[in-house]
Amino acid sequence: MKKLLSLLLVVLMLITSFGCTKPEDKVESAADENGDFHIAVSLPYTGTNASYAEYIDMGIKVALKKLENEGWLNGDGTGKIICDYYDDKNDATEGATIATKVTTSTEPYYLLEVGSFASGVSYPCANIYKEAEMVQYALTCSKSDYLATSGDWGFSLSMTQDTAAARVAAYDIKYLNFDKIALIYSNDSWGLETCKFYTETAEKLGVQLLASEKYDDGQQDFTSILTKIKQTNPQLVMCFCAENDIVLIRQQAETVGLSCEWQVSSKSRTSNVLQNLGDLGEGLYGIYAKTKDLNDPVYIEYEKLYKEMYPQKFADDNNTTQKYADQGYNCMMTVIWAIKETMKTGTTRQAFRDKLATLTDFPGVQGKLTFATGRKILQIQYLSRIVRGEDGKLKWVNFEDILDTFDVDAVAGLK
Amino acid sequence: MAKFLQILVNGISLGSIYALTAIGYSLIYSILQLINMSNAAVFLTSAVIFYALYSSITAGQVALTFILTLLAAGALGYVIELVAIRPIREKGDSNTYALISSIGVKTILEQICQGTFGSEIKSFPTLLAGKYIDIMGARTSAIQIIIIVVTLSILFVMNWYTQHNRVGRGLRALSQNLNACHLMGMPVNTLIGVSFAVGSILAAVSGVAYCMYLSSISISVGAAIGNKAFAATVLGGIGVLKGAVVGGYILAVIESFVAGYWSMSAMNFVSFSVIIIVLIIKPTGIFGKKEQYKV
Repeated sequence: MKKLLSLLLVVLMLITSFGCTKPEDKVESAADENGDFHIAVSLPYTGTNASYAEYIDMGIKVALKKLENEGWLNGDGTGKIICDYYDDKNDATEGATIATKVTTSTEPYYLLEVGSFASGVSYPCANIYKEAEMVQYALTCSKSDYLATSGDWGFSLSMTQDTAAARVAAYDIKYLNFDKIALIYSNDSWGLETCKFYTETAEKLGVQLLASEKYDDGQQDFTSILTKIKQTNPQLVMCFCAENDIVLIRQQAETVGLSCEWQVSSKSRTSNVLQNLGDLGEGLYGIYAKTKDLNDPVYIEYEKLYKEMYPQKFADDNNTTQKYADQGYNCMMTVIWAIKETMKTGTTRQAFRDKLATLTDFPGVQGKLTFATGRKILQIQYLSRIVRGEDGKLKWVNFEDILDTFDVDAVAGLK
Repeated sequence: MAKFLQILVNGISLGSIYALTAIGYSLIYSILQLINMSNAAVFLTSAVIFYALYSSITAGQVALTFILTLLAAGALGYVIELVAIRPIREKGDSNTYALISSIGVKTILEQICQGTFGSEIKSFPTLLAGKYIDIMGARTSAIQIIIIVVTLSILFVMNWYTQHNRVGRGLRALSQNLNACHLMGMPVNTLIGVSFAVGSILAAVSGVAYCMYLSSISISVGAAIGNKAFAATVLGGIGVLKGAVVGGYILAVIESFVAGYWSMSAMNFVSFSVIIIVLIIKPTGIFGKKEQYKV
């Protein structure tokens, strides 16, 4: 009886081990029976980062509209790209639930996942996508070790924080010559890491921060920490915050009488901040990664569709496209490119990943996109500032020739 | 000294917002022993209504917009009770079901606000923008002073209302013995509806005042305040109006000092630790009284 049982167990184990193949192994193409591809989009449609989700979503939809106008992937109305949109509520647990669902789903069978917005959500889910061997296109994830953690399966269109924050510190200390700096940052993965790299670079450049204040998600009243910072008498307050938070912080700084220069990271260098701060925004410094070329045919085509689809938004944003919508568009356009490129030989998850990783000089709406070694995105960062134009209106102006005279990477110790 | 005073002023003005919202929780709890979670969503919805009216129909008239917003909030509170709470109450079901129903209302209202208003922060009209008063080095904005004065006035009116007004006395009677009020032929359903309307009006005042203080509005504005106001209600003694007020001020002042002298991240840790300690020492909260039931 024991022998029989042992034999049965061995047989069962053999069956199980042969049976436990990944869905990918059986798939010759990730397309469904109609030839359509399914993509999961996971973004914080609710919660404090909901505005960013809205922008990215807009960009994705513009790219899909463009493809639809071209007759989808095959040019004859077949080969659609169908996105399923999930709300991760800017919460890692929700993100992980979505990741588990989309990686194990067979109907529909997802080719890849796009999102989330925050590194604090994308990063913890990276391993789930890695294990499932499915691309996680976390377009805005800037955590420094995200690409390494995600194995071969993570992609992002944002620079990593070690580079971005170090450059900001270099601009502040060696270009703008501030040496009395206070920091405000959000108490999340992104905020903590940017603060760390900014502080480290500042110290290397001989500046000790006067204050370094973090705040939790959902905080609305900043008067107490602003009062505390006011006592240190800073020349500059650098804010690594979401755009909604910087509006509150800057307005409340007036309430407590904190007058100094202000700077925001690229995350908050948005038209929304410009609009809502009004006159208070004048002089605010920001960081901008690659300026869009308004005369570039790629941008003109995108802008035309964007304006048709979101006329009110376009008008509200001073007749320009939203930065994060641009990123959403770039992301989906590169996805479309990789799918088209692999369709002849079969667009499996593996084939798609391999093709996407070779992206070189892709014509994006914020300049050419290249995934360099280790899938790192190469971008230039400019200093930028809100100034009053000749028409009396406030606008963001980029210091586009700054790199001609200031080697930011050398100063920041990145070379 | 200036820093101390500045933080104190900030704490008191924030405490006024907590207090106003907390009264709404306390008022309804005192009558129905129900925690009305929809209060936080009414806080947000009212601010959204104010914003929508101000930027369209009333075109910049603050007083008229404010009155219309309060009327809308009162009606909303009455409807919430009528649709989501009364049917459960009349069936004699447990308050747990009514609590879940109020959470449902809160979620629905928040979703509606996000759908109609959007997720971006927007500028909110304020009063006497750019006007400040210097109190021994502490810079106090005009809107902070207005908030404190309005809150204290409302508390005074509320006190008078529940002591001397017929409807107010009716609400007090309900809070003492609902069944006896039924037997005495009082319009219990109407009075409970009125209590929801009053709670909602107070949430509306605090919602609009808070957004004026921030000079901006976003959809996340209600959630944080709702949680804090509820905590303040428990701290002061749930069901006791003056407890809600005192709890609101204590909580906000503690938070301000912790953030100002230590860290903003430690704010919730300290304030909720204080609440736990108070509740361990006095489980009914600062002003709460132990209820005794005859078996």
